[in-house]
Amino acid sequence: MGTVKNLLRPLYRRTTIARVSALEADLAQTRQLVAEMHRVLMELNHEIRGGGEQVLPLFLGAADRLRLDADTAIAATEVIERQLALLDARLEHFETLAAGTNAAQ
Amino acid sequence: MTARPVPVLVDARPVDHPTARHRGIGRYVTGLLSGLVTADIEHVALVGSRTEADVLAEAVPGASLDWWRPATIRRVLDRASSSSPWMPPWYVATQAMLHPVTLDPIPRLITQARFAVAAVMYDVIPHRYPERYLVDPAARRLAEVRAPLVRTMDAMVAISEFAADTASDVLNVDRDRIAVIGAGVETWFSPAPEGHDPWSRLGDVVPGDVLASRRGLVVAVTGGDERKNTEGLIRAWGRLDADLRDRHHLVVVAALAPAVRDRWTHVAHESGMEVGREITFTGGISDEALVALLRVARVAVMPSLEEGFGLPVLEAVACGTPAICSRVSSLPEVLAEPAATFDPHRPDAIAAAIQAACEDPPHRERLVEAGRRAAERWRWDRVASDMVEALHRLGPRHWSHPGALSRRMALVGPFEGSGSGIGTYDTEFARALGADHTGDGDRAGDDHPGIELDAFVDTSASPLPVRDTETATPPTRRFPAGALARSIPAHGYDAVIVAVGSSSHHLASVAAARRVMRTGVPVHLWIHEASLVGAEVGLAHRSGSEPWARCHVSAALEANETPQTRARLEGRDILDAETLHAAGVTLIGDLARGAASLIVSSPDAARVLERTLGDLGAKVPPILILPLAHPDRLDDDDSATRRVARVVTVGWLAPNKAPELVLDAFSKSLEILAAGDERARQIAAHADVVVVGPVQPGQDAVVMSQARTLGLEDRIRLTGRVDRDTYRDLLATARVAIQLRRDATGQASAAIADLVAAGVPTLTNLDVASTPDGGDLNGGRILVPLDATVIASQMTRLLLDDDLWTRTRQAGLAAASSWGFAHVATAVANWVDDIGVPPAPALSS
Repeated sequence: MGTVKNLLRPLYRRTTIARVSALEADLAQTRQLVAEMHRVLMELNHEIRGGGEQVLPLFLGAADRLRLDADTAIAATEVIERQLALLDARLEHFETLAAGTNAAQ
Repeated sequence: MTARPVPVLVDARPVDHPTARHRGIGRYVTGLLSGLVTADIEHVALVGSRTEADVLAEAVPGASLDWWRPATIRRVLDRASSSSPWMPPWYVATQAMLHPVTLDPIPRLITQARFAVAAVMYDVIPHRYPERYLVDPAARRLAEVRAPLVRTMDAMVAISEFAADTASDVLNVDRDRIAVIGAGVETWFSPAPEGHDPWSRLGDVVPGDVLASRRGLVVAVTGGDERKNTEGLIRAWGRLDADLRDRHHLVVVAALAPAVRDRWTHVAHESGMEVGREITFTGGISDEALVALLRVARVAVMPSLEEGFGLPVLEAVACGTPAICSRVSSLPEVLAEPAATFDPHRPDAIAAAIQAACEDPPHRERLVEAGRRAAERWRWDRVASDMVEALHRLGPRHWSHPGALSRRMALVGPFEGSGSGIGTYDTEFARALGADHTGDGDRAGDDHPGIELDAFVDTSASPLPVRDTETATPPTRRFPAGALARSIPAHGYDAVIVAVGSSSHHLASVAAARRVMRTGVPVHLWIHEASLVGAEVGLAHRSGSEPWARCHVSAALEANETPQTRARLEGRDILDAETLHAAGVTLIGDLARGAASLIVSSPDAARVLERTLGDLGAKVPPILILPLAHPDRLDDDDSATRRVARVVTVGWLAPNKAPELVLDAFSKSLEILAAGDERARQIAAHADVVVVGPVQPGQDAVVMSQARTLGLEDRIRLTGRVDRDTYRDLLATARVAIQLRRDATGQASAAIADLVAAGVPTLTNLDVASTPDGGDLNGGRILVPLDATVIASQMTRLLLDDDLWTRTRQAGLAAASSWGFAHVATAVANWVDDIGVPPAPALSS
């Protein structure tokens, strides 16, 4: 049992943390793209802004919703990452306690 | 209160939050910190920027400030770990319940250190009324993420019982782990000093006739939300006796949108009143005016339907003014006197309460006394003491061992797959840093924490998404460069290394460096070429707008170059990179001056930077001169015979690489060989030139045209971009390389490092050492001027003389093996450690 746990634990940690990190990176990239679009429209090009007219507010609204969704996803990964870290800390704590008990026996 | 051995950490970022700094939460943070100072409780206020530090230095003299940095958390962790038994320090998350939702309320550092976390619970009003405050479904989804985050925390400290109860209900948090600590009021809310006339400050707040008659003011500090129930108050005012209204004036203080003002004006008209005569809506006013208003007020009234606390009530009573408030939510907790409260849903009840508060002297006495008790109860030092006592009592939710914080670095730049040659270099560097310094690759909780490296990939001017670039080291997390100091906070890193060069492939890196510098996190600029001309001009061309492009480059010239340099560009095309290069423009000074250190590959590059910064009158950061690393040996073939007569030139082919000199020299060399002995003629018969790497558009035609003119069209091959294996194969067949560069600013060449590591003797005009110690034959390179005759002579010697070729090659291979990426990784890690982190922010800038 202990051997199985010892095999699975590192695998679990690496797999989950790697997945969370990969997801976080993808989401951060999405957000960056949206932020970049926003910056270009808001700051860089007067011609685009002038020519955008009614379409521009619609686009900005859509971009902001996309930004919120990207933020939501990043916030979710922050939560998951923290939950995993706390779980990891508790596992370590229990293992230490168990090791102490075994040594005492 | 005695000082505790381990400080409590308070997230002080809301004091400069874009929306919260002037609102309750920003003020709550400054108040809480002032309470910790007054109560002599050891604490660390964690700031993420110079501005935050400046705000706090002014607002809370005596606060113990420190940067949001791994080093800060590590210090507290070390201190806590040395005590037995281990008691995790507390981190107070002040922006966990901020709306709109902020990212990163519990930085990763806190979790990794395994500190106990408590959130300040202000209210859950947006969660309770999502149809009003979270109208956009996207905003609602974002707010919903808060609940699971809060449930990972060890405790909460709420500003009222009502906030605690509703939070427990809405967020599904154990009520037993929420302590109520309340809130306080700033000290400047106080009764008027002797001889001071507050009316004199109200000239632009109340109408002139009110000011002249000094009518009794009934003041309500409210807001545009329906929850604030201002309309109920206006209706109640309309139901008061006309005599009382003649002797008093209702002043509604609130920053108002025009639509809200219109609505309130309409309600006043409906109630038979005229705005300006009986009621004034002030709009937003200064703190000074608000204090003056509260000091002269006959009574303050707060008719809200729901609050998290009810600070305006406290501010009024702190000024010695009687206050009345709603009998709902948290307000009866703030003003614990039933006679001071009313039913906010009934305008008649509000009116009756106002009338009594204005005109019933015994009742007023009771209100003043209740206010005195409230002002005494809700002091920041008591709030701070209560918070620390509560956290001590509650303790962490689960016990664990102390965490470990490895050194954390970010590497920003192009990586393998980018069009920039620096990309491959960065990848090799990241791999070496990971292999040498990351222990067993295990991250959080590693017993031997080394460097935890995150790669921020710059894909500017490159079609590759981040996921397709190669950073090679398994422990390395990859993010886009644009995410740094945006969705990935810079404060999580001990240091940020930003690799920059002159091309458009570095645009996002330059922008990231500027953002990180604003946070105060040390940025070490690895300057592969002491110029940003290509990057800035490239950005200008990509804008698609010539006027904008000219503005952009003009602004860059203004920020970076001396008036003399700018004068040299009068009448010239500033959108032409070659023109700027020729005028000695670098555009790098403004970025370099903000760096913690500069890393360059040659003394010449260091001199260029020193001169550039000197011209700007800027202090020169410490400079590390670090020759470029060589890759692992690319070829084991020591035979001179296989490499008979191939000449290569490697890298991005553009006019500044002087390709016409390469062809000229090759042609002259063939003439010399053709006039020689049989072996020389054999070599001449087989010699060719291979140009390895991408070609600037149009440059291929120029090169081939010259080749035709020289009769060499069958001897010249342009490969274009090649994959890594083909690249190695081509280098393995080369006898000699020629690497030239015009307008050099002391940069080294990664291509030369590759050639040397592949055992290819290289002719170059770049006078850059191969290793920190130099060496015989300059590490496989032979220096030549930009002169075709001299180059031809040296080329011919290397083609003919096997002894010279072997000696040069061996010297190069020796240099390569003595100065590889592992050496560079160690040197950079040590350098960054030596530079360290900036000291804790002083109390004044």
